[in-house]
Amino acid sequence: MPFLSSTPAPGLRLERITVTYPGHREPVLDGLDLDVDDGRLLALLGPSGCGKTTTVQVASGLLTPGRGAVYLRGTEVTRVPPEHRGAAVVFQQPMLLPHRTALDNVAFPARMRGRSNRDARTSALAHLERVGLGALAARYPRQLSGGQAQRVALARALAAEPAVLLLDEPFSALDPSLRHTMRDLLTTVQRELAVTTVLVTHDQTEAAAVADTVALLDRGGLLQQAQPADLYARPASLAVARFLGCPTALPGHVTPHGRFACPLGELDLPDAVAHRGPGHLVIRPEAVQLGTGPDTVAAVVHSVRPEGAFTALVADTAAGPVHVLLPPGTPPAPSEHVWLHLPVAHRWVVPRAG
Amino acid sequence: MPPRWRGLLLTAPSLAVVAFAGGALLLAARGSIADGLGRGWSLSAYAGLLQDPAFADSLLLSLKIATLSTVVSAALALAVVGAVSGSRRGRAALETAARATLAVPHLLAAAAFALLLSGSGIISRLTHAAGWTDGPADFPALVAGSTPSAVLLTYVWKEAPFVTIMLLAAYTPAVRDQENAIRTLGAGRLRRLRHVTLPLLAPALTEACLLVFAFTFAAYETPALLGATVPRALPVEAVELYRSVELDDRPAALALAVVIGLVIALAALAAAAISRRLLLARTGP
Repeated sequence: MPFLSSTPAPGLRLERITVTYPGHREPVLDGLDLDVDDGRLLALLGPSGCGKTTTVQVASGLLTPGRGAVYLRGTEVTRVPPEHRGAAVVFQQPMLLPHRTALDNVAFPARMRGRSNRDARTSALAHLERVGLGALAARYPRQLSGGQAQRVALARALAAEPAVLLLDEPFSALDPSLRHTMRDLLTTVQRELAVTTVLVTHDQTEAAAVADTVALLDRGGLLQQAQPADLYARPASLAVARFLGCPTALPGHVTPHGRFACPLGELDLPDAVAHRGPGHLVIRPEAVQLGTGPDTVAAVVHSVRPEGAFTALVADTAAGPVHVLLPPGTPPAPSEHVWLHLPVAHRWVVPRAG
Repeated sequence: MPPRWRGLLLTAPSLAVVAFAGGALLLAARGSIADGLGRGWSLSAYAGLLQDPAFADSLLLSLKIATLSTVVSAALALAVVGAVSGSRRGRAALETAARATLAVPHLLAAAAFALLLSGSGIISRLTHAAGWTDGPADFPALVAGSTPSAVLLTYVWKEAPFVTIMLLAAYTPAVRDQENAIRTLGAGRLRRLRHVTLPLLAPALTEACLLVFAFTFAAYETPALLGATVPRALPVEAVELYRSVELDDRPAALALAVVIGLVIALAALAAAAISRRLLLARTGP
């Protein structure tokens, strides 16, 4: 049965999940397959409307998929109602019971499981202390700040001792500094309890900062699932590369010898590039540098604009525009001729779409 | 427009209603203490009521009708709203059915229940045809009997949809989200009802209950058509006394009207106190 954290966690598995909302022709989830390793944190990343929240609803049981199956710790739970499933959800809003104190809110899941009031409260206080709010146990939700209320919501979800913890953009309503604090708190608590966790976010930085694995969704399907560093360095498609902030895509093809042939000539590629044939060479803006020497190409500066402490520059090459993120300093002016250093280790090729 | 004037303008319709009702009650109060042909004043009408055992019976009957109608209507409305809360289609169907019932006038509803439930009514005839009863005398006296069964049935049939509409209006997506949140924490249907639905719908439920209580306590036509002749509900007694050929009965009729107004005012005060308490319970001190 759910809510037993003492048993080894088999994680979460979504198998060919299809969901179509009434009155809509297009499915919001279209045969989605997703695996979350036991005790690991997966960030579900994607643009608005890609099906992230629907995925959480399916995993929690609040929505039954038209097709497909949900497994928790190896047991199929597709038709198991949310109250018996063991998938606790933290929503964008804290959703605390307004007429109960923070302590009683956190004690609520244990009370639902039939534990005595005293036991539930003792355990709840420990959870509140884990999120740093032991001193505010007697406060009512309206006496808490947004960040504090969301921490209580996290403590309450953990108090349910769930098989899987589902976080549906829980930090999106908080200010940036508070988001950092909450991210750190989540990482610490998740590692400490080793609870299988899915974090829905549209913030790539957040996903990369906290997740063991990132799954990128688009139009109801999984584009790629990988460790954050791999996702950035080795995108599976042009769509993934672009979503992750890599707009440079130079068309060409990979020769049988593993070199990238394009109007710039034949460029060396890292050994990890297994793709052969037509494709796009992608390279992250922060990996490109200005300077002469090996692995450089000639370019003309097209546009320059400040981006915080950095400068975003677009330079036209014979193969197409290359985006560069320059560190603080004096950037070149538009129309200026420059040499761009494209380090081989940071080059990657994605197959040409279609 | 200055904010003060705007506020006054916006509250003017409700203030007018309150002034009208208050004015009518004051006029009734004045009439109830008139002595003879306006030569002075006297509390003899009230003293007469207190000494008349029929008054206590009428008061108790009206309180019973109003309380039972309110409680049963509220319970039914809560049950059906809770049952369809998870289904958009169910909610729409319930809303349509409730609105259709609301459109039927009370007088028509009372007449329909009289035709259905009286000794010579449709159900009595059907039970006789089915061989379950020997004739009208064998059918329970639901209309004009010793218990106000037909009155209660009519009121529940009319008021439960009204409370349902009030609850559906208060059953916002925020309530649904709260229910879903605690559902994933292990709360089943009854616990969701207790911990989220009831506390969040309680203000609307209190308002609806007050309106149902006030109406069923003070309305004339349904108990007049379906109620017994002894004891009579308070509003029926008041109207009959007012229409009496004896003008001396008029202060007593108006005194009954004042009593009805006072009971409703007390109910309104109780509802306000409950609302304040609910607000505190909802948000903490």
